[in-house]
Amino acid sequence: MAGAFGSLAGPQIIHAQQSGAELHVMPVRGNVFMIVGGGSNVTVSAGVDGMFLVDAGSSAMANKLLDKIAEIGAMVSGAAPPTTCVGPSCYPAGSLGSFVPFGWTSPSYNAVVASPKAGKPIRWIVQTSPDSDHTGGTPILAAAGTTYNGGEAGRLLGQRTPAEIIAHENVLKRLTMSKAPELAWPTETYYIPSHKMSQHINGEGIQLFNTPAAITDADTIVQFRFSDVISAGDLFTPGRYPAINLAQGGTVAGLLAGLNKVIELAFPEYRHQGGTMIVGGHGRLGDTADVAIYRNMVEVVRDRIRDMKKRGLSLQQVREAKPTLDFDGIYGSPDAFIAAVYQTLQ
Amino acid sequence: MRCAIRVAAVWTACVALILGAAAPALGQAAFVTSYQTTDFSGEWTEIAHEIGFTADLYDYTGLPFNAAGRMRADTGDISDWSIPEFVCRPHPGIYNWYYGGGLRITKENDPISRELTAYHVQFFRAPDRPIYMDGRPHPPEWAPHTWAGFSTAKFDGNTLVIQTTHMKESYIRANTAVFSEKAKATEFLTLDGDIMTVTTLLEDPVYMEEPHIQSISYRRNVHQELPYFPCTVGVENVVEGFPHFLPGQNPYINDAAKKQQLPIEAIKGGAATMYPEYRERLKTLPVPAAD
Repeated sequence: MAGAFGSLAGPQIIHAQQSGAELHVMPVRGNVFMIVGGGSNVTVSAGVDGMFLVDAGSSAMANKLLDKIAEIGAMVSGAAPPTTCVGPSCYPAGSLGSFVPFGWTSPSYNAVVASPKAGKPIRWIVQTSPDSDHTGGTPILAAAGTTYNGGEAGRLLGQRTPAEIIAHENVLKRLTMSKAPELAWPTETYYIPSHKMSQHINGEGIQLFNTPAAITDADTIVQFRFSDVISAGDLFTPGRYPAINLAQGGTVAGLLAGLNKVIELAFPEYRHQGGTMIVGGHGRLGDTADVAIYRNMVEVVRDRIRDMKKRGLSLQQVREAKPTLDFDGIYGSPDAFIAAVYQTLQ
Repeated sequence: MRCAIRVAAVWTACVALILGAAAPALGQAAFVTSYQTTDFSGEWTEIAHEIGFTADLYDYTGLPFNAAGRMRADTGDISDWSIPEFVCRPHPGIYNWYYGGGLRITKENDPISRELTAYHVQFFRAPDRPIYMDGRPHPPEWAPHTWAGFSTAKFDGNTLVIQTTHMKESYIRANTAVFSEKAKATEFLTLDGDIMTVTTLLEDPVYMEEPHIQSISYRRNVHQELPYFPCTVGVENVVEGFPHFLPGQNPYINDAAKKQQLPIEAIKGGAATMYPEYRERLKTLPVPAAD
């Protein structure tokens, strides 16, 4: 059903994008969606198990994000997707579930459609970065969600455990050091190169990979193995230079290794296009070739600045030499990027 | 008598009305539609080309490059084709017309209204390129970019005018000259008998001072069946080492100027080099010694 929904929901969602809303939903594949405009991009896997989020956006946009996530959830868990099929043969009696003994043409089913059930709760939030535009919305989104932890006694008393927050352990370190609100801290951390969610979530395996010392020392990329979607966090930000954060352990070498990791995990559909879809930390949806183009830019700029530094140019002199002149029209202001590359090169 | 005259007058008037109404139809095709005036579908083989399918390395003559575009091309290394992420890269949609191999254009029609809803262009070495004719908008900025971009079109008289956005950055000609992902293209397709002419106008705010215009003509080929052209990446190793030259250190940068015996300034392009007045300046510029 998720796959069919993904293809049928497109026009409806695009219409919403054009109504002037601040947040925009981009169907990525199957039951995976990308929400744009809430700080960082937010990836949403919606399905029978609940809502699995990659990143939580900024705190300022959290309530709007919550509404948009609920909207996606309601659509995905709706009793039946829109259909162009008309007549009893489309949905034979009983095919919509035991509580709906009639097909599409039944007035009772029309009533059910008019009063759809709510979407499943947010159960997991992965933080790909400690930056506030990725973690700021966590307290509100997590509090609106649920962790099923077996505490039935508490549940009977109306107690609810917020959604699980998962991140590399350095996110916890960075958030505690920066005195971020405790509700934004990860509740589950991992420290090894890869962390697998222990069982299928919404019909697929989801795997987390740490990319050491890239944008920060706490970055995670998330692979949806059946949907064939990768959330790359701030490693990949099409349309803007990478925001390497030296104070939080970022390096250009680690960034390049991380981008190559994304490419290694991805498969193009045909002629380096399509196939694995890649959600960046910011900017548009991409694919393998987009990440390769981005990686190439980082490598070219790295080489140019390394050469200049070897020749004894100061950071100011490097900036004046405009080593990114041919990329600035695409990626914007280069000052912070040049400084970060210069300072991390030996 | 008066009655007979009246009948004759009415009959004459009716005949005149019928003939008057029929007259335009007699001079036109059996079915005239408001949504299509020219049929571009079919198999096509290229016949006339402005610059040929190949280009010398670092030859940007006729390209209105700005400083950023020139720097990007000058530091580019054609061996970037060797990286596994690019080795099967198709020609970009808007310049695919210029790389040979023939093409096929098919029509997609609404099964009920029979309106033309899209053209599909299939080039020899690239994925299908849809050109939507159904009035849909271009996607938002957060939608993916593709090698062909997102194209919509409408007829302006007998000319099909195609607008394309959302392209991945790619090459303009068979060297390191590239256009950016922010470029937009307008293509004009015209038909003269069995000859189709394609004129491409590229506007690139990142790499160009002015729009770049280029054209090519095709002949309808009723004996062609466009084949499938697969591509396989030989070695799937993801490694560092993207080929490029550091600024000012490209040893091949002037080879094209030497070979063609043209001034270096001229071969590096720029808007001024596209205009007739530039011929006067050409006479004043030194030509590099041939190797």
